[in-house]
Amino acid sequence: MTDDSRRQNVEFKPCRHMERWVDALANGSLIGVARWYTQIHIAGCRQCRATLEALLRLHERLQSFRAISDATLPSTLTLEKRFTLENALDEVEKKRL
Amino acid sequence: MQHEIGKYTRSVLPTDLHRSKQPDPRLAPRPDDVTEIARRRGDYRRLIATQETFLLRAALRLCRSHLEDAQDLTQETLVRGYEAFLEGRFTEGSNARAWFMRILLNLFLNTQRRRKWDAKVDVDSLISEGISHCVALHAAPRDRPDTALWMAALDEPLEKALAALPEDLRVCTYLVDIEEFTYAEAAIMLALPVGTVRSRLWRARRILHAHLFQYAKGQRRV
Repeated sequence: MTDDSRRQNVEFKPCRHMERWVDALANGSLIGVARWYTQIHIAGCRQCRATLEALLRLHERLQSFRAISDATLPSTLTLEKRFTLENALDEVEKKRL
Repeated sequence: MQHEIGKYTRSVLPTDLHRSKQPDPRLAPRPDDVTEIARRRGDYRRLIATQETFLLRAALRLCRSHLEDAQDLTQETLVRGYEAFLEGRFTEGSNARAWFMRILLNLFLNTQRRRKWDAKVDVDSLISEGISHCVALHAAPRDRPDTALWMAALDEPLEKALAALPEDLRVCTYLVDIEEFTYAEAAIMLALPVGTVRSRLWRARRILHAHLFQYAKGQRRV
């Protein structure tokens, strides 16, 4: 079993009362006592630890998805659309005047 | 009575019609207005230049890579944005990306709602406009050729999992997990409470994880 597949093979079922904290810890928004408590809980809870790992892994994959699609998607409007846009902006101005 | 007839007769004279097309000098734009609008147009062009790529890519991801729809959505966003810009609804120095994104999302969600509404065709319209008019009888979005082609062209299981998410969950995931807006920013853009955004994200992540896990299982990687 590879490292990658081992990471995939995790449950996404934290303790019910920890859902929000684990989620917040994964996205880095958890601070103070709540962060400290969650870290202690996670150290001793296999399910919550697995969920945190899964969330972090998912976040990584979503970020790499963004990077890949940014590199491949078109970055500007077509000339035809740009022409239509300029005309539409002229119309907006006419309405204002 | 004669006066009434006279007025009527006069109003249809070709010379009068021609004359009515002449712009009223009192309504002509003042030079100050024209200069101001030209200046604002220049400012807006500079704003577009910094956001166009982001908006187009955002539209492409939301429209599931359907280029024509994404171009239309971006163009419409920029037009609506200009209207708001001229009305002074954009504050210089504020977050232009979030501002444009909110306009784009509103347009996108309204279009989606309209499509769902149009799909609910009643019996009368079915009889009067024919069965081919009824969108509800067409293939499901996932089975339409454009979507099917796109789905087939993808190798990345994550993209398939994202495309399979329900619209409300997908938009939240897109804003927070891909574009990295905060929960609060996403909540403002979607006009939802932060708690709703949080719970939608949680559900979306569970579904994404389940899809990826099933895929990995199918590949016998787990």
